[in-house]
Amino acid sequence: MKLTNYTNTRVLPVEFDYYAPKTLDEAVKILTSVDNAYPLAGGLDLLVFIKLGFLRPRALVNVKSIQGLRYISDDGDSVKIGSTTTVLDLERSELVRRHLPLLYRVSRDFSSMQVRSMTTVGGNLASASPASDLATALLALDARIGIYGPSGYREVPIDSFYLGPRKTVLARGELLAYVKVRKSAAGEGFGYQRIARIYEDIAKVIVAARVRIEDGKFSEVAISLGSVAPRVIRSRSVEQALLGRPASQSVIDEASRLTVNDISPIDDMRSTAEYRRDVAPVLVRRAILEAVSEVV
Amino acid sequence: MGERTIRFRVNGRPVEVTISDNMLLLNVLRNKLGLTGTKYACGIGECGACTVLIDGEPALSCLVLAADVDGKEVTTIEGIENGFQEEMVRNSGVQCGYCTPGFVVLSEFMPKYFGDRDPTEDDVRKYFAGNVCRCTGYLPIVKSGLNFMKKIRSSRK
Repeated sequence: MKLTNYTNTRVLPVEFDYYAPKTLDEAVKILTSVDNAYPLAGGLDLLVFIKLGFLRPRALVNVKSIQGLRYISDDGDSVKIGSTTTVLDLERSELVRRHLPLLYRVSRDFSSMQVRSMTTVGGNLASASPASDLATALLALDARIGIYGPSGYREVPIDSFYLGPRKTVLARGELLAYVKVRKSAAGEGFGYQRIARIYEDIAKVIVAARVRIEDGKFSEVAISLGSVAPRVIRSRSVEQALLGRPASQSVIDEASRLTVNDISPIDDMRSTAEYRRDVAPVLVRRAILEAVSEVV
Repeated sequence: MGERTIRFRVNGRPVEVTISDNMLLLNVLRNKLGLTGTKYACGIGECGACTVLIDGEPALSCLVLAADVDGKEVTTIEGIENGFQEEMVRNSGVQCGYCTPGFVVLSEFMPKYFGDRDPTEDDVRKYFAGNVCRCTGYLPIVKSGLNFMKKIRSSRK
């Protein structure tokens, strides 16, 4: 993406039509019929891209005006989160704190107050940044993504939702409608590690871990990483090296080293590939230790 | 791209403004409503100088479409009178003053955010992580935040 407007971020340098649909069907209709129409949620990615000259939409469709999309509800063995729910909503939710401790931790440490208050779950996930803390955590939790489009609803596992940098399976006219996350169960522990230049910055490396320990051995393991590949990824090498093995320091140390087999970091404005390759296994080890220490 | 009329409330008073779809809330506040207390600095959501409250929740007005606040309640620095401002004056938390409106507007949300919790210095620093100050080195601002919350809690008892 070439920077074409670097000096004036005071205004949006593009003319577009604005729509504020009240229902999902209304929004889908506009997105399928109007040329170059983009959904607008929090605006922290989209409006910045327009200001910097990366995007020139002909229309913006506000999804926050759609009724009934901002909710966090108890769905039996899962928690269901509507797509216009903000990260601040997550942080302040009793349901999230009790049943989704990993998501609570991510939301509590998320960026700044203002960004947290404006960022929607759907907007953050759909904009598909490979450095999304939310996406990294939800990948470790095997969340399911609910999509609404011209043919109605469909659900995909989050691992299938991402195709590459800023690319998802969302087709034209489709919107992310909700996210379903399984509640944490007994015997489960979680870890969340990130490293950034300053506290509220986008991270150079992100790790989220979920483990389940039974009889002192790893019966379930999920290790996900952000900022080290074209999309958020799971480290299958580490997971396979831990499954069925005892939750001991030496097993964890050895398995963490395999992280490098699964990541493909690049040099970018935040960090270098070399640094990320050095640091990712360390954060993976710390995240696993953190998760193991949580299992009562 | 046409024009539209939006109706919303600013600091408790109803307003009606004619805008074009690509106008930002920040510029409508400053240029159409004459409320120049809210500042433009980075324009990309990283400095907090443009902070306002929309329906009581913190927002960066440089990244909000004016059309998006139709029917909503906007609070700017001009509409705030709280103990944090008093503390800022007492502790010399204002030098050039450019970041100050952003800090004060965000302070208004502190009692709601912290509730009955007693914020530590670390909590207050993290709370204001999205507000950049070039002059004070943050110490008097953090002190003002801590004192403000102490006063809130003691007045609740």
